[in-house]
Amino acid sequence: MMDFKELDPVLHSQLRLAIMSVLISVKEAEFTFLKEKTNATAGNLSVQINKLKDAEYIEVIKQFKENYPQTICKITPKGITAFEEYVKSIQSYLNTGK
Amino acid sequence: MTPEQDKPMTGQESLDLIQSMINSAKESTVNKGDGFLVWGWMLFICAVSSAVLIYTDYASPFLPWNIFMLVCVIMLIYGIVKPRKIPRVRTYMGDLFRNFATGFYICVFIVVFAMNFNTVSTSIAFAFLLMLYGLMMYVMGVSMKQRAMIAGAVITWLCCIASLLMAKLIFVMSFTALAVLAGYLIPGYILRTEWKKQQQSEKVR
Repeated sequence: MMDFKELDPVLHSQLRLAIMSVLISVKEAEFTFLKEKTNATAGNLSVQINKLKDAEYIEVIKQFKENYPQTICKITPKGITAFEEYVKSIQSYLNTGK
Repeated sequence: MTPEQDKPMTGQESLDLIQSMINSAKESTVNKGDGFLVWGWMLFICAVSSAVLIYTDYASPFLPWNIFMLVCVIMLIYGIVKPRKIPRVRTYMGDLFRNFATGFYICVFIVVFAMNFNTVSTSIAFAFLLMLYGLMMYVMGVSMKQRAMIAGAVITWLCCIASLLMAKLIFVMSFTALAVLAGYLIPGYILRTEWKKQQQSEKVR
């Protein structure tokens, strides 16, 4: 098992990494879309989204559209940098292990 | 994937998770090809029927195009009036296409306007329209990595050149039909097939 001490602890979690991977591929996504893609429960997803928001990796916009609440998530520039760094760290580790 | 528990991940597992999520997000934004097929068939029918009417010396050979314009106006009004569906996901490419399409339709409107006010001849105007359609297909084809669409764009531009050289309206209409077939209908059916395959593979998962 590799040593993950240097990896970003905010991103090194299955669900948070899954959320960030979806958001890196789109401009913005609604909560229901993220729920469908990650197969997570609404409660767990909500908690992890808040953690990413607290780390300023994503922006969460809550609004009403046609009387329905809508939660939109969007990756921030800080989130993009963190994600890229995370991928680089893992890739360099895997390359060193070869 | 069910990332309910935060179990430790190996480097490879992390990369696999990232890859599968990115692929899954991309698959959700795949173009169904509906727009290509609807517009393609309307344009194809107009071009072919217009060619037939010109051949038979009918008094109003551009009647199909006039009906088409009326349908476009009705669809435009319907598009403005009907309640907008809230998109669950927005992509940079989707936004680029929307903005590009707006510019494209403004260009088409200018050409149609010029044709109706006899500023340019009908055959030249149709050639310009083919040039614009070629540009639209090329941009979409390159962005979506659809070789059939890029080939359709090239065929459309060749039809544009041919229309400029052989200014006879019956030829122009025939080239328009050919361009629509190559640039709209064939890529539209390819996109539809790919979308159906993807839907089936998602059901299997």
